[in-house]
Amino acid sequence: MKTSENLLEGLDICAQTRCRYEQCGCVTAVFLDQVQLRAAASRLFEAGYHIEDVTGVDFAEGIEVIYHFDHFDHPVDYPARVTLRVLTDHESPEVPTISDIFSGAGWHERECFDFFGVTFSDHPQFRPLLLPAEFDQHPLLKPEKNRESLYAFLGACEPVKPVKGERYHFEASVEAPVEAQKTPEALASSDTGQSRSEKA
Amino acid sequence: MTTETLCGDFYTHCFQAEQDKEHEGRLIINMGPQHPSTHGVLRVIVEMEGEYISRAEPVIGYLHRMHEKMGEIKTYHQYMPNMGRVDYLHALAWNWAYIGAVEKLCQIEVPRRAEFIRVITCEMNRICSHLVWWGAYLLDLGAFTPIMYSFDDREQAVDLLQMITGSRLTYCYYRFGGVRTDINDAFIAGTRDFCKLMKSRLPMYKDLVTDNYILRKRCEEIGVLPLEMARRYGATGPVLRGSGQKYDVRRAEPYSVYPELDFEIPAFPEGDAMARYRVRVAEMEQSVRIIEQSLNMLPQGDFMAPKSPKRIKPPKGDVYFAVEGARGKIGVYIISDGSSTPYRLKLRSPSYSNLSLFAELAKGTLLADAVSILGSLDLVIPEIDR
Repeated sequence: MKTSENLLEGLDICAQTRCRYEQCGCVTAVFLDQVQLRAAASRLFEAGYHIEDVTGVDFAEGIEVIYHFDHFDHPVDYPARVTLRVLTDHESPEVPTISDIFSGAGWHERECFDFFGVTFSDHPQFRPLLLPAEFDQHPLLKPEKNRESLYAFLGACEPVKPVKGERYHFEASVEAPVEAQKTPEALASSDTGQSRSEKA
Repeated sequence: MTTETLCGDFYTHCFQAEQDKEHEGRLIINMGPQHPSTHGVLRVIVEMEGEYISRAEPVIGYLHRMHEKMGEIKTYHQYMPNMGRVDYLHALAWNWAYIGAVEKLCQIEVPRRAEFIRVITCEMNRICSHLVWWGAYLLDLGAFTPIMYSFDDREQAVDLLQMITGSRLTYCYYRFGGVRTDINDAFIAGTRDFCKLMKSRLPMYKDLVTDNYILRKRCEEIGVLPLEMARRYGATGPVLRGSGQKYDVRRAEPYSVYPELDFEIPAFPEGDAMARYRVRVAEMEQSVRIIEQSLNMLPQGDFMAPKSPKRIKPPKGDVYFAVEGARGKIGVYIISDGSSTPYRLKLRSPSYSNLSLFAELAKGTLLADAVSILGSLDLVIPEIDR
């Protein structure tokens, strides 16, 4: 079996949070640009991964959508949980669907819409699942004053390793907070994501 | 607008709107939310072509209680009783998933005795859960007697668990760093008797039910779930193992003292309802094996870590912890901001993923077989809706 690092090689990864399994239960946690999400999911699918869940977290920089994957046949001493994260903004949260790749993601994405209001574009049956259809609020969104910065949490997962270029160095929040504050907009909008990959 | 489109609610309208033009006029009926075979309030909208289902869509959320929001409001200690109420049949596995996640986050050491007590009680609870499923599934298929037997057995296990946990169904027994109370000699003796009883009962159940011709007709080659499809939907637990994949969190991501225990992971390659049935029955045998070993290996010592913190305030960070429940992989994902409440708490419930494949699995089957398929997925609706 390929290790999860090899698996995502070549993708334009914004930042790689190298987690220790003993500490956080994941082997690899990767911050992706939205345009790369489907490519990453396809690679995981081809490598035999299954989807565990899709969920969201409300941060000051935007809503982070988290995907957990695991593998049935991983060796005992090498657990395989892979976490993909994408960031979307509060105004019009939208993320491409992966329900055509992992069918199980379909329900998880609908749940994510119920709780956070995140729209998953091109989802075949996009409608409320757990909450009533006429209920127009999203209970897991936090009031603005309670939102915390995403970087505060990423700093806690040690060590953080930049994959491409110093620009997306997530440790920036610890060393140079000014630069870190620039990155969320770049992350949130997929347009800049495209221009970034063109540059690369 | 015709009168037809005025009937039904939002979900029926959506379902109707997705009907193919050529199939217009096919009968659409609701199975549930109060259908006896759905064991709770699950509703399945089905489009019928004669006796066959051409399309199905489960509608859930009738028992939704927003446990995840409660997790963000309550402190780590206050949230513990919630875990007994997510999946009422295997409450201790949910206890364990949550407690284990927080322990991992705070790096709390659990005494060995407590680990063994957890294994014993969790496996007892697993047997209880499978017994309820066994009785109820056969009841769905029209056999009334088995549930009388299974509840008789379960009663003994529940009495034993009540002796030490204080509750019969919605347990809240595990604590950060151990368990609430130590087990006593009466419990140990009673558990040994229960294991003996189960060892005599399980072969009888095989003769009485598993080899029964009528049951086989209702289960064999019904709802065949290919492994590829199980993976696509993220199915776990007996549903996955019924498709031939030997995947069990107790072995794949070993936690507690499970690596020291000798037990097998039953898996059957057929993928039909009968395979899922066999997996669960075989799992009861294995659970008995685990309990007996654990009782023999039970060390003396603390049942609660002496230095376990009174107030839980985990460091900043996130953690994913998974355990094997009776229905599959139970995952708890916590993001802590360093305060006394989690910043985000996500519950991954196995039957949620297992039910999501029903729509695809039920296509083209008889309506009566859909009942058999639903039962074989072993659904606990409060766990799906959370």
